Amino acid sequence: MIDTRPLIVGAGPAGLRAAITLSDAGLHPVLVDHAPGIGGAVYANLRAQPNLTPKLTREACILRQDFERVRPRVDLRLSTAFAAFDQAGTALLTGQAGMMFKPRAVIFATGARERIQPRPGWTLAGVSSAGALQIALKTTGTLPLGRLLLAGTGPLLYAIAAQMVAAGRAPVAVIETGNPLRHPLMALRLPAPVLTEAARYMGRLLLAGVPILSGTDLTRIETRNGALIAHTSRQGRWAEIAVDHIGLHDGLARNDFGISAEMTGQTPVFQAGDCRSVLGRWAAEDDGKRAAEQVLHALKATPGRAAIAPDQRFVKTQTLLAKLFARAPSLAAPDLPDDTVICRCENRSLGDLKQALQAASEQTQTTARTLRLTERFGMGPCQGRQCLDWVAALTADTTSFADLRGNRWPIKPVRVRDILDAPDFTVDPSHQDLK
Amino acid sequence: MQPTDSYDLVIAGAGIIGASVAWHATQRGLRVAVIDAKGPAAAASGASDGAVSVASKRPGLMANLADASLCYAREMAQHNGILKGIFHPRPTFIFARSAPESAALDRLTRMLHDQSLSVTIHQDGAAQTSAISGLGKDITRVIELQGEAHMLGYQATHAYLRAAKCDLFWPRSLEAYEPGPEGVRVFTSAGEMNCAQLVIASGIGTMGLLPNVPMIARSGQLIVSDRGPASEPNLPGPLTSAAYLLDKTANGRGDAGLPVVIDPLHTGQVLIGSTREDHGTERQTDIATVRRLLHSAVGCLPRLAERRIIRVFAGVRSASLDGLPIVGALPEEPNVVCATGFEGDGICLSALIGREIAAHLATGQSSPDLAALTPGRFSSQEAIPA
Repeated sequence: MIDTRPLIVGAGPAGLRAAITLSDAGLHPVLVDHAPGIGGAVYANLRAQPNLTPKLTREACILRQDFERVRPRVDLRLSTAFAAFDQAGTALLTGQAGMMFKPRAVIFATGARERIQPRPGWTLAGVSSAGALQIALKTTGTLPLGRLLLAGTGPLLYAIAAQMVAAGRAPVAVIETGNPLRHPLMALRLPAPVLTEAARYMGRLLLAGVPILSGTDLTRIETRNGALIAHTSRQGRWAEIAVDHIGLHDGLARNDFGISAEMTGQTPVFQAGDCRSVLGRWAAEDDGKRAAEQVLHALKATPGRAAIAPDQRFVKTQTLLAKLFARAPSLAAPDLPDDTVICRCENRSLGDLKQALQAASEQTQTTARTLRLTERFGMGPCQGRQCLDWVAALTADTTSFADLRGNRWPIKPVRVRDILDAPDFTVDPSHQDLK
Repeated sequence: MQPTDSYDLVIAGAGIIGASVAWHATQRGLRVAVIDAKGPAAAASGASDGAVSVASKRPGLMANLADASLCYAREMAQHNGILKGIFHPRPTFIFARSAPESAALDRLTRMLHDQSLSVTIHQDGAAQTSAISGLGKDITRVIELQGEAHMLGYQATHAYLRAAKCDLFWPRSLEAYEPGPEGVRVFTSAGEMNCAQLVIASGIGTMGLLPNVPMIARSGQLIVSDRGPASEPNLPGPLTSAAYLLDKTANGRGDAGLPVVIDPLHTGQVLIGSTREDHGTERQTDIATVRRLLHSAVGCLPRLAERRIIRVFAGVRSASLDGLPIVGALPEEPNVVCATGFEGDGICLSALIGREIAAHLATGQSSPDLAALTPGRFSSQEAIPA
């Protein structure tokens, strides 16, 4: 008997809740996560963290307890990456507990994709995504040595800054492109739990004396005397801040790279949580449960339910947050210097992109295919997760994001040895212990 | 619908063949338009590994044509030629892991000798004597060829189209045409065009247009690796299994082993391919097949096991029923020329085919060397009673 257990990718709030729901219905899901522990980005390694917000810890505990209850029925595979899912219905997991099998259904709960806007100097050593700093802090408890600076926009920036403060490594400043505190009345319309959490983070930052420079752009980064110099601009006034490490974060986006109907054949595939729509951890749990219910419906071959709209409360909250952080984009890509790197995998600049578009417009339009093949945008190991938002924005009149994106597996680069080492349960008739 | 414009020549298909015809025709002073349903190098030309290979051709006519095209492309890569910087000479390494594969190497040796081709054997011996270090122990024999080259299909396509003084239109697909004494009326998705002559070079897109020319869409899966460590020597040329030759030239490869090609890119990445599957569904890739290819590739070059795979993709080649390309004027329609069915050999043959079709269009004289490729061969077969 071949292995056909349903697969859940990602053991964050959405994935865990989906696993609980499927287990409660009598199924034995396979739950895979590349991290060594459950919880996802938001609940990773909570016990090791300073007690920032009691509510967050409480919610994580409830989810963990619920999961512990069904744990014996879940095949939890940690430190294991989801690599691919093909039209033949085969899934490939690689790493510590890698395998090939044919899941009856798949739920992707892979979390959001962090956006980072290209700026001159953003590819220098010492500059990383703020999310990467947060993951390092949560999983290893460490941060890079020296002075830290956070820059960009969005609520997550403050959560990360507060976590750094709690870890005794307060950032030099938080540079916020938007101006969220300018609309206090609008902010007060946020739900109480969101406000409480925001107040806690802000309180931490105020107490630690971390300056929040709102309405300020980080326009350029350069190196000088072994330090990183962040050039900032606020209403035409320029300033420099010397630091050793910069964490960039320009918001979160849904993450469906490598997942499309044409790639996944006949198997029912659902997305849950922030990878489907960035609505935060409460919505993600809800969404995980609903995705699991959709799987149950699909497997019972009852008429499929249409995709359920997310709870409107969460949508309202995120819309409001987006408004609070919204601003006129003064760092719009066309204004950047031409040598700004857009695609760091293939080292392609804004100038390269403009040249390609210009050369073509004399005769005919540049196709998405040409931007990929000849100009190499989206062809590196990240498959365009980083650059295609910006390429699509610049070529909106000729190409679409969907055309630019290749949607090809593996989802992330995977070692040949790991592909070959994964045991194959798509055909093995002797493997009876797997339901 | 009003005719949008009038041309000496309309070419349907902006792949490497259509682009080469376009450039060669404009060199002869023809007024040319190229249309494509998607854009340049949107199908097989964009998905190819770029190997300009004579060794993989069927002995006889195909090997001769490939060699002639290779020699011509070499010329075009000289001085300020159109393929300068795009056509890169490099050695080819063809290996055997079994008796049938070794026999295929013997046949290759005979073909290169008997046909006096410009591709020559530089070395033939045990794996240890090869210029490539770290070969797997499965490999018993390696032939190093001199004279072949690398030319990425999309780069050549763009070079031809950039240099050709012609009008380009996409997305615009050829939907139908009507030959008449005055020329050809071309009906496209964006209106009607008029031309004296029409070239149909749209690969698998040709299938629906020419019902009397039987074709198969044959897809192949390809794997792209990361760049690998800087310390690792890049392969000087592709490492090709003799089974791949059998797959392309003989009646199947029997028990010769899985055909695998490990092709270095100038970036330090490697391309691992490729399968021949008769379903012809573009973009269909599967884990089981890719794993078999990788297993075979690691057996040939064990250090590949540490590389990371960043992308798997599929391309579709248009194949004819008898394995020969379909090139020439249509039997009852002398103003309509087709050039399709190359099944992956378009990269190698594009230079010659472009030159010869342009000559035929400009002078009305067609090359006797291409007579065997005529689309008319299928209609005459049908006439023979079963």
